Amino acid sequence: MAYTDDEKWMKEAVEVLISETAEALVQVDFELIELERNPKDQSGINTIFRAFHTTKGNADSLGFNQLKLLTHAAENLLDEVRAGKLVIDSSIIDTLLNVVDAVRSSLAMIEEKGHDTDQDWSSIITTLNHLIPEKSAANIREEKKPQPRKKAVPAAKSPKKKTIKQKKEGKKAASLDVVAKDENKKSEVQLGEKTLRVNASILDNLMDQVGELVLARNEILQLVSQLNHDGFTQASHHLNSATAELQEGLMRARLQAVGKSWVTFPRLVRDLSAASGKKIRIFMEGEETELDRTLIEAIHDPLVHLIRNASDHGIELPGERKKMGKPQEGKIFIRAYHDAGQVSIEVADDGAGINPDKVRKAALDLDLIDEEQLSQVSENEIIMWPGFSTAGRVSEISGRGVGLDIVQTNIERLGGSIDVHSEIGKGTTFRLKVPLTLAILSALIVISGQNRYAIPRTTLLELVRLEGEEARSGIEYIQGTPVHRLRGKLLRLIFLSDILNTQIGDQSHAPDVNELESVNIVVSQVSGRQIGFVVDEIIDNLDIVVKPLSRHIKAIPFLAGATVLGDGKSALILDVNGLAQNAVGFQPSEEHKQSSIVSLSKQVQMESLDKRNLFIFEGPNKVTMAVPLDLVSRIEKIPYSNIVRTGVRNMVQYRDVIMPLLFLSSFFSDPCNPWRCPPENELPISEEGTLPVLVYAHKGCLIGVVINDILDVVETDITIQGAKDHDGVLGTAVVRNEIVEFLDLKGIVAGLDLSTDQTALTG
Amino acid sequence: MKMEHSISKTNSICTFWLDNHLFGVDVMKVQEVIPVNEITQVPFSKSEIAGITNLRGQIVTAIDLRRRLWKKHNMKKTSPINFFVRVKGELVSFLVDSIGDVIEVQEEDFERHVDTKNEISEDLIHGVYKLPRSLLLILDVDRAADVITTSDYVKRRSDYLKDNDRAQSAKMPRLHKKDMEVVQM
Amino acid sequence: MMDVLLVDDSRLSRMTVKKCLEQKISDWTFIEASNGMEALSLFEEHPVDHAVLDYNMPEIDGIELAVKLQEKNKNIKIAIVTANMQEYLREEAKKINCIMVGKPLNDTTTGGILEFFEG
Repeated sequence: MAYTDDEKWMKEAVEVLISETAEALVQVDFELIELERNPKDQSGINTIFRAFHTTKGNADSLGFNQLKLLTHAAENLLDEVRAGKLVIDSSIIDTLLNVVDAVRSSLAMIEEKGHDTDQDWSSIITTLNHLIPEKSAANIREEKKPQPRKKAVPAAKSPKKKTIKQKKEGKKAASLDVVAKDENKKSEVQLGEKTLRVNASILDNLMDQVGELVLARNEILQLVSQLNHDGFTQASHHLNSATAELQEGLMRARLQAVGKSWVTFPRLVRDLSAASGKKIRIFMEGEETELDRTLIEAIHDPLVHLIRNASDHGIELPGERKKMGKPQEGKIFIRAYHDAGQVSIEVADDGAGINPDKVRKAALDLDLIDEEQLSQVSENEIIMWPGFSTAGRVSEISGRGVGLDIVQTNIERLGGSIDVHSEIGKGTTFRLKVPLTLAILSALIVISGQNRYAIPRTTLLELVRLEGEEARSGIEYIQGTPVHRLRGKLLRLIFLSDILNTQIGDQSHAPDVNELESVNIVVSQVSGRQIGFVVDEIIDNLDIVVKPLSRHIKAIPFLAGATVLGDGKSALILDVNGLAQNAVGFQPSEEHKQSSIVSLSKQVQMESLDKRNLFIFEGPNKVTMAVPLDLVSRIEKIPYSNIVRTGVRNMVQYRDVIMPLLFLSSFFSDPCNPWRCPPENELPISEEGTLPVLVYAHKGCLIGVVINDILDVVETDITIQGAKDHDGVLGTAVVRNEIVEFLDLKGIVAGLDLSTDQTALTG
Repeated sequence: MKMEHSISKTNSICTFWLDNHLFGVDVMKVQEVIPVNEITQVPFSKSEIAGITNLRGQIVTAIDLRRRLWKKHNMKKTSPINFFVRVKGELVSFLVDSIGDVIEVQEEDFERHVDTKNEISEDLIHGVYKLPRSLLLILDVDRAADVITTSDYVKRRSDYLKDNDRAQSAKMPRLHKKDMEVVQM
Repeated sequence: MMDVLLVDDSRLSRMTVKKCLEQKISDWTFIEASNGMEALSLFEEHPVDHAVLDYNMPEIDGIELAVKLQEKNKNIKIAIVTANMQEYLREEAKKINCIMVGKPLNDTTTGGILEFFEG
């Protein structure tokens, strides 16, 4: 259907209206929530005023009358606020938020039907008008009195004192600044700062072309290396560095501040708070951290889900929080930062934490797991399973607990990972890790069964090569599953040739252990576990361009895509998650019934429990002692001068609390009088005046255990021999050729009298 | 058979040979024809999928047309020519034996009914043109390219292999691990 | 052939103004900016003789921008547009030899702008 010029123009104009206004509304949401906390923030008020003013003008020029009336009424209200005649309060904020939603709904109708005449905003308009103080209301109908112009008019040559800063973001310069926390908007003018508005698809195309260039570069490098011609070699080095720079430059162009998509979170959290009756506040940090724009879009929904989760399951009701001595307002933190070539984004809350018992019970009730397997899996894994939810009812806020497994799948599909750390009563932190960019990956090229495959380095932990005798003895079979002992830890092995190169009718390719000359193991991190992939050879390490698979083979779970190698031949990119799932698979809903596979996992899990990190320290009488590192909250050096004696105990201010100190020497020399503080000259005070303290958390309280010296952290198997010869010690073991006493930290603390309140200093 | 064949009076058909049969595809759908350079096999893909190949940086899936068309198939033969066709917005390659000429055919000579005594899958053929010296079978490229490896298919294949594996590894030497005491702390 | 600097933080507003102007004269060179700073910087490279500025913009409003532009080019003819037309604004504009025009533009007001530009 051909449009007339006018119709075409109108179509485009409506599109611009919708996108421009949507952007402005996000900003308004954000500013309104800020305004709730700082009602006097003039620049926020101006931003909101302008948004409605502009929308009104635009609605008018395109003939959308309802929208015009609505925004006009909002504009009037904002004008009163701007003039100082009206002070912002929650009812105004609520009403304005309703206006925002109404405008959105208007835009939706305009998009669908091309007009908004069916809508009737008279009730909101009435509410808006009512909020305007009486005497001003009369003025609205007349012409407004001139606002006193605070600025000097023409003649004066001297430049204005007020200076302005433009903050542009990337290539999509929004006309409204996205300033997260900045109250102070004054800074220097930057004339000549140039940015361009570039269509995102142009950048995408450029990225594709650079991808091709990378491939061509790889091809040329390959050919040149066979030539041995100085001129060519030099030229190819030149090509190499130019391509690398171009690639990097373009990737940089596609980077945007991750916080761009976070502007909607404050409104989301406010709505969640209101709906649940909880008090929740969100804090955002690291918004300027950059990430490829497609990744930013891709992680947005997972982040939203995690925030909903934190609100729904994490943060407790104000009453409960009060009982626990927590501030009534719960906090959600979103933190982004760069970390070793990846971007980490944490969603943390200070809520109830994951209750291991509840999780286990729910898993049993939902028939996701059997009793005997419970001890083999951690709660942190269980919560990621499909179909899992501890919510008693379907929450209208975050729905059933089907989200976390999808979050994990989606993140892993991007080549990232998710892990969770939680402390009951304290809170939960989910950490997402994603690679900086998708299109070009750093990969390992391996051979398996005469075919080459690319393994992305994102999940790569290390490479292990065993030769000769080591190769033959390095692979053991436990209940039919190959494993390798890596620094004492049992690593589940998967022979790639088994999975990838068998056709129906072939025999299994598992090698005869006695005939191996060498073994190459690619150790990867998969869903929180380590798996070793055995390949025939590792041949290269290079940047590859990820090409999508066609619909004919897209669904194969082991494959992440394809690429073209330097010699022009195609190669498949492996998806380690898919490979691991297939082989190991602790998928509770299906496979926990297949006992042989389960007992394998059980075996492997048990083995991996054996290795632990041990914190080695010097205890009283220069005895070397150890505790499992995961029992220890922190290891600190506390200034001796900070210690305060209070009757029986000695306390020190530690972060937000006052923590009692237990001197190990006292405990062991006189268990009946454990809190005694030894005389100063007997204490291992360092030159800086500090004491080494092991901070231990016991039932929500912190206790500082004063030791003599911090020695080491060691990963090792625990084989405790020797009897328990006195209280406070579990036994002895040989760790790194030394006899070490295992401190019974739990037992010691359990026997102490901790009846004095641990006073919180804040909130 | 099918109604989709072009309405115009004269058609240009790009032809190829496969197992001494002459096939054709409307020239508008054909992107190019080049000899096979390399094909990388895709594990767990359906057997009609020969693998993937590189066409100037683009990864294209290659379909073994012989397997696709004939129910009984001699697996040892490979076809050396890539016949690149655009199907549903994607580029696909059909492996064929050799390329024929582009010929003009008349609408009137088209017949929908095909004699399948050659055991070619009927539903993959639009119909035939009777040429002076041969029969030209018009390939339904959309259907012929419709070979999708589903995750179910992969699961069935891998389950089968796992069963195989378990049977095999039961024969593996069992080595004892060191004795270890696990102490709960 | 007329040249004109269009400054408005709303892209839609700029589109609308363009459309109105184009209906009267087909041969325009448009320079667009979404705020005062951008406008001043573009003006350095493309000094124009006519401008249409939105009154209500962040950081620097239409009147202030007009003054700055006039500092660079005494002869520039500037029309300032606003969706909230007030008498006092008309006067402010007059004081600096500009005209203040109400939004949305219609046939008459657009004609008025052109007369002002040509006059």
